[in-house]
Amino acid sequence: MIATLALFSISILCGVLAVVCYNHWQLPAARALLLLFVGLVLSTSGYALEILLPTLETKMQTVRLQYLGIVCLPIAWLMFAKRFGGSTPSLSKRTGIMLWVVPAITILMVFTYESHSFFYTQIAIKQTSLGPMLALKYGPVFWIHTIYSYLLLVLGCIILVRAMLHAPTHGRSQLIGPLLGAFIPWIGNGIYLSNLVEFDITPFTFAATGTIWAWSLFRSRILDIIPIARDEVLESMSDGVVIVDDKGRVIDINKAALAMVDRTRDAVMNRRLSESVPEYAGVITRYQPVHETTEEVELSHPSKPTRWFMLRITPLIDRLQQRVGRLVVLTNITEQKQNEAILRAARDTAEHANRTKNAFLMNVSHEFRTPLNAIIGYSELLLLQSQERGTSEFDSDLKQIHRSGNHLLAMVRDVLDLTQLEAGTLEREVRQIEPELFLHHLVVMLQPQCAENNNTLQLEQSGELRAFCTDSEKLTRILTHLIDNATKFTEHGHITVSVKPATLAQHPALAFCVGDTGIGLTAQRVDELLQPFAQGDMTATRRHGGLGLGLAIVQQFCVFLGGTLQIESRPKQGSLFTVILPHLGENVHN
Amino acid sequence: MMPRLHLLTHGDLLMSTILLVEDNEMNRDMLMRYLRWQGHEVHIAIQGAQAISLATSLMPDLIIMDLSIPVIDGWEATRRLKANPQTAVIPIIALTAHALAEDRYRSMEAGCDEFETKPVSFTRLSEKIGRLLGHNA
Repeated sequence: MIATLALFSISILCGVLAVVCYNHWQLPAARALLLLFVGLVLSTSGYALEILLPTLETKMQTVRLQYLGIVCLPIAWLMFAKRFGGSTPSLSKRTGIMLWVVPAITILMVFTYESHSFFYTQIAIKQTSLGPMLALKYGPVFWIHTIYSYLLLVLGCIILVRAMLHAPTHGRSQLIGPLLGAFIPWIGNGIYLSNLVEFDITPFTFAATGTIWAWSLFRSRILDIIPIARDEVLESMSDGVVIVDDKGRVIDINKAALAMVDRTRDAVMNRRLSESVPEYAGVITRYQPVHETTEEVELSHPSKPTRWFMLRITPLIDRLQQRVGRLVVLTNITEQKQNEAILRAARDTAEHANRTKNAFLMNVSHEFRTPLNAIIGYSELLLLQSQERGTSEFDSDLKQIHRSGNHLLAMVRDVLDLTQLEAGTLEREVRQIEPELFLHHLVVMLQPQCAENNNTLQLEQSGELRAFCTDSEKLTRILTHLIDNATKFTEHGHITVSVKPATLAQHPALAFCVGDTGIGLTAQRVDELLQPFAQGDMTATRRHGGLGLGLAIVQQFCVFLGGTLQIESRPKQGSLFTVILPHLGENVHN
Repeated sequence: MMPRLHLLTHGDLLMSTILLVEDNEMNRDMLMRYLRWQGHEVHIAIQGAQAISLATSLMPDLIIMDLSIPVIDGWEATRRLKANPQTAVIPIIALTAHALAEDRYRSMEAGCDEFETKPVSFTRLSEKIGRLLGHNA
């Protein structure tokens, strides 16, 4: 009775484990285990029924059930060993089918045992302590199947032992469980065949093995991934991988890492790297106490070019949360480093060239002013003297010199502005201004220029405005540019300048407006004008002169002062430029 | 030296004494020649301290002061001249290299009576001189 209960219990346990295996279908060895457990369910429950049922006929029916399970066991065993052991090539489909030939014949013989004596030579019932039990004598097919089964069991064991021998040291412990499990059925089967007990304990031993295997398989998925993946992944990696134990000895190292230190596997295994690779002892010793890091290291060698590596150290923690060693991964980043250095050098050169260019342009702009002032001044002086003497023959030439000088001066000023903006050397010098007084000074200053194209320049009254803080120098540049532009593109018209309160991003601000009644602009032209070196109408370049930098400069100055530039324009009707500037905090000035 | 006869052609301008403070030689020469051609007696100073001492000793009718002159700059020289009651009455026209309202603003603060940017427009300068000397007279 106890034996029956034990057998049913095992049957149920194996059933449960079969379900677990089914749920972990994707794990490589789970299918083999599923077959094993299904086989065990059939054989153990069949065996329990055999004990329970009273007559010879009914007992023999259960034997058929048992054999359906029993034939599965050695095959499941072999499959598991191959899957778990990993490194040997997996079975081909044909070999897989061939494995089932003997079991299939066995099943056929068991199901037709009454009509021949290939399987049983004698069938009887004998009384035992467990009650009436079958007393059988076996024929050749039984023995063939038995030998076949043992062969597969031996094969499975060999595979597991080989896997263990080839596994890295830390991986061996993972194979001990499966290997121990593999030997249990041998003991049980030996006992049964030697007739030491009347009762066949094989199902128990198989169930024990299956349980151990299932535990090995499911306690951590990594366990069956490591044995399989190790050879393929680790060895083919271009990154160097070294596993050191807690005493700093190498317990595993891959091909790439060996190539990096130029050593054979035997030369470094189970030794400290600082001893086996003394040329890099300095670096190695430095990282000896480091358990976790990701950083770049430089490996210099007296006779080799310096190499750079990305070093990653990860602590290896066992299930008891003990630190058992470290995983060291080395990625060669020398090429990347070299490229970075090249790029950096190129960038430095470019930046230096740009700085030189800016310094040169600024210098040139400054240096241009003095002779230009002289050209303008002396030509005006000559013009006045010639007019006074009544010799007008040089007047138009002198006027041309004078005009060209002024034109050149304006361009030099634009280049200087843009260079300073581009160089990023500008600083905001915030001062407090009285907006209206400020504009008044500006208008007075620019009045004569506006008169040249027969334009009038007017300051519109804006009423009381509070003092305003901004970089007044830059604001002067902005408004001068806008008024210059307006003058350039307006003839016999009006240019108006005004200032009024506005808001910018919900903060109080001031809007400085410059309006004209000139040729105006299309929306597309406005976009183009905001790019440096563009002009509203290319033919206008000749007529109005200039480098087309004006609006681009204005916009950049606006941004520099934290403000915006709005342009409203209609061709042939005029333009309105609105600069909205925020109130800036006042800073130190003299 | 300009012939007297020539000067008389500028009938509306009486000969005045002008102190020109400018460190750049070419600008100085150009302005000096223009002012002399205009019939003024021109004295030269090339830096701030010299400008103050000449202004005090010569008591010119007008000073044209470049603001960016060495050691004592134009602003400071202007402030000192305007602080001295003796020289405070002399009108000063400031000259700067940059057309910045800022400079104009600051020169007015320092006490300059007028402001002119380089390159100097002689017509404009003449108007300002005439106005200031007229006021002064």
